[in-house]
Amino acid sequence: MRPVSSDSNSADPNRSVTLAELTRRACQGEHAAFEQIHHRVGTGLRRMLLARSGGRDEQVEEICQQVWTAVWKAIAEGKYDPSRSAITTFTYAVANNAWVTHLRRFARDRGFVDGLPGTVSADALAGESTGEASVDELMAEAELVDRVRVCLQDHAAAGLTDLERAIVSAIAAGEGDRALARRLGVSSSTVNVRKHAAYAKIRAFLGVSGDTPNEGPTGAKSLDERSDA
Amino acid sequence: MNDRRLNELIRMAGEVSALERSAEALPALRLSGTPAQTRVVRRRWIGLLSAAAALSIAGIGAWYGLAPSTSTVAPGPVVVDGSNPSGHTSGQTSGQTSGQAGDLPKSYVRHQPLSPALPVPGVDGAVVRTVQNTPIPGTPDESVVMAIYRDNAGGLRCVQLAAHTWANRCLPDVQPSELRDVRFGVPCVKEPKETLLIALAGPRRSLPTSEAGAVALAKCILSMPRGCDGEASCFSGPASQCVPAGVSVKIEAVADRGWSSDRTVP
Repeated sequence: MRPVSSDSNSADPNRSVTLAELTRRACQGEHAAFEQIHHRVGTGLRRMLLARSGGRDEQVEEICQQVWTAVWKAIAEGKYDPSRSAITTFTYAVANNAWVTHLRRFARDRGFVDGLPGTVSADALAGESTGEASVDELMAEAELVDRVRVCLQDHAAAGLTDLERAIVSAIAAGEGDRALARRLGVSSSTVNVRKHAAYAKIRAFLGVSGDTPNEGPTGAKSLDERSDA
Repeated sequence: MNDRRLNELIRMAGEVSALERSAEALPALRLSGTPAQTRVVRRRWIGLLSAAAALSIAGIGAWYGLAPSTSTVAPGPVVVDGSNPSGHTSGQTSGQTSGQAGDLPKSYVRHQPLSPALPVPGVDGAVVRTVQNTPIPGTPDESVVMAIYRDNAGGLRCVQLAAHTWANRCLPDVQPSELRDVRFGVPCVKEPKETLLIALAGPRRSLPTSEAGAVALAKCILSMPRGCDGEASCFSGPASQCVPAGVSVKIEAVADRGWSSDRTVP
């Protein structure tokens, strides 16, 4: 009897094992490695979904089960490619899609709207279809998100200034232009100019243009755009 | 890719980064094993933490006033002199309960402090009980002897204080002659009408070790009402009322008519 870390088990007694290493093992069919991934990522994922759902635990529990089932299936069938996106990003993409699918069903069942935008593989996550394209779309989405992450983390390489990075991050987090201008001590017009300059630099980094709406380098359309189309 | 889509991607990138940070963070420790084993170990940890907290609190308490002083006891007689050579007795301080306790003129002091001063009763003459301390188990008892010199009016002339050991004997076992043989050096007054020899034994922190403490204790004893005068037994009650709890007192009175012994209190 000794105090051990929560992710200590026979497969991974060393808690310093990275997620990338665990992903590699999971892709080789090691169930324990996948359990480790589930244990590490699951808490944060659950927290994120709880925040979105307003604390509806039953809904979150169901969605989490769908997410991890889909992730494990993608890994087991060799459809998840760790070289394209991190397992965290892929899991996030699956969860995000599952969440939007949940919202669509919720709205449809109650006759609110015909359908909410934003799903690429609702059927797959619902168990109605497990087509390869759905996972590939999710992979493309995750890959795109990972590239944006790289752009923001290594913003100097992308030509982003600290101010521009702060502005786009704050706006993405929901902060308004005026509030952001007050917080940063600059004018609203400066925030607006810097925001668009940052968008242009990010687009250049991603290799896309503003004229090709919502299409990334992999050809994956956005969730919104698919429903809007 | 329009601005809306780009903004969405940036938001998603931020959420993924947060998710990854939580995943890469070191997970919290938990106990492995069966639930029963976990409960046992958890109880042990709680017990250990509680004991550590109690020890910490006790240590802090000792540090702030319960710990024995680290000062050394003076090997020889220590004089705390509370009078002036002229024997001036006028100008009594206010607050004394009766004229039995004389005033304490401006003093000249020759003393070596035994340890940091005790909580001092009202030196201004008011009868104030010293702090009631409970002896700390295991604290070695120490002993001092006070000589209280009184003038013809019964007032306090001066006080001498000497550290003394009784060879590991309790005060009740000390013979009156032994108390009278305690050396104080040169008396601080000439021809005192009466001298009270008061042996005190107890924890060092409860004994008078400074001029102020000795004088205050003497004034307290002399100011307490008593039903008789002159006999050492008359001071037993006041002495027991003026010393902290846990301090044994043995009194000998030396008057011009001779010595008289008293019982030990408490």
